[in-house]
Amino acid sequence: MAQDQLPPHTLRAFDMDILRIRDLIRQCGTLASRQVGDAVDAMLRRDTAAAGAIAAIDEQIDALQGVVELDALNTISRRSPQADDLRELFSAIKIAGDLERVGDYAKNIAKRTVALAATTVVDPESALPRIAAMVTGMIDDAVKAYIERDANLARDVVERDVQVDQAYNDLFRATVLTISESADHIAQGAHLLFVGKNLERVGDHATNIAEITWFSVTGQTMAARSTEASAFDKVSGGS
Amino acid sequence: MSALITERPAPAQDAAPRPTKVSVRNLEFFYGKTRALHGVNFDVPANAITALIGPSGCGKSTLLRTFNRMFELYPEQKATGEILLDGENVLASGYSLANLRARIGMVFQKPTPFAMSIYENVAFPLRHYEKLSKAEMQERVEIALTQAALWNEVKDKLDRSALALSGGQQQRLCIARTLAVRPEVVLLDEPTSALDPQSTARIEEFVLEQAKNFTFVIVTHNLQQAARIADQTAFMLNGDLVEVGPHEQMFIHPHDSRTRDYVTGRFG
Repeated sequence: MAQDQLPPHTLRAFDMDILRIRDLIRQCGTLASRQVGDAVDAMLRRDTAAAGAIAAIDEQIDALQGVVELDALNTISRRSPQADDLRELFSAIKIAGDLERVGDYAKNIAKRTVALAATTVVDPESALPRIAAMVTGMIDDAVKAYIERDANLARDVVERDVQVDQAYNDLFRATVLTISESADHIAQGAHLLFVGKNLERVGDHATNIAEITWFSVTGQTMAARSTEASAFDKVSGGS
Repeated sequence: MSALITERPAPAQDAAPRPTKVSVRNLEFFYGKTRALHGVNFDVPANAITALIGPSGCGKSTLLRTFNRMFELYPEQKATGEILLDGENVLASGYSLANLRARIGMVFQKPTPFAMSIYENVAFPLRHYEKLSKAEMQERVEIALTQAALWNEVKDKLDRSALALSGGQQQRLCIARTLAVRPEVVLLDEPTSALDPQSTARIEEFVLEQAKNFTFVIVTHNLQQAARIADQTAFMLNGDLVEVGPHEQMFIHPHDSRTRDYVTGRFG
């Protein structure tokens, strides 16, 4: 549910600037999220060709980040934004940076497909699709929260990160167990630990996006809000 | 232009609040039977810059003109409530108008230099309020022109007509004329609306620099100007004071949706 439906600007071109930047963030988020899912999928199928294609998508995300930054700077320069608009443009620049890092982690996962190409799938890897689904879902929802100015959805994303951390810890223990049981799996296990850590970091970036979205919509930092008695209470409306 | 603006660090969160110089209490203002201010209450901190913003006709200039009772020039205009200058109600009938105008000076939107020399423009009000020797007078004129950031530009032509100065210089001369009598509060009614960006920056630099010596209240239509220089900003709408707060509140997270709509350009 979106909480912050503001009236249009008197200068309609300002609204178009804001909508264009939101659309760029949406594109960037869609690419980054898909890239993470595809990278894990390619790794599990040991599909080195698909993994190679991930790098090309990463370049698109890098380019989109640059466009978001330039557009936001131009809008700040032209429109002299204040209050909600200033917070949104500041947030757009930060979110684009987080999505760019998500793309980098997806590329790192894809690179490991080459290293693992000659190996067979070991048991702990079965957890990866679930973790990937968790973190890509967080990215999707964090970006949706930003575009729809939905503070409650942003808060939900932040709260989901603890589940990702738990899933990563489970993966870590299972992988260490696999390595300890068979020296043949040391190298493979090391790669698997890095992949798990990469996914856990994607969850952290989704959390960052959700937190900056919370600030953008409410004007409060989440840390500041969590110190209040009403911490994480549902936002009932308004800015 | 930014190079001309003095950077002032944001006050620390735990910094001691500034003492109040002027308290406005339950202020109402009437143009005949029309009520233009509706029970305005707020404090102006000492040695700080307070900006009044709002759309045309909201009452911000009316509010400013009550501070030094400028409205008394017009018999059909009336203010009720209190304006406490260091705790003393300047609207009280027994409060000396001459004393008030010496303590609260005012600079207007359009530069209004007298048709006399640059020197005499500053010396003229001094002669009205104080009896000074020639040397003392020269010193006070130089101090006022220096405070108004005009001394270096006019020190070699003090006997020339003030009307020969540029618009920006004329406005700084008017500021010097106001400062010469050493007011405690300086009211600025859209002082840069007729000036180019460089002249505007010089005025803003003057205000930022001199806030240590004076208490400023500025009416401005330029939101960016309020954002650049004000320690606190008050938003007015239809005669009501909607919200008053520091920069972070008014320009990053306004508490009132009407303030938000105004500062983000979603108004009307």
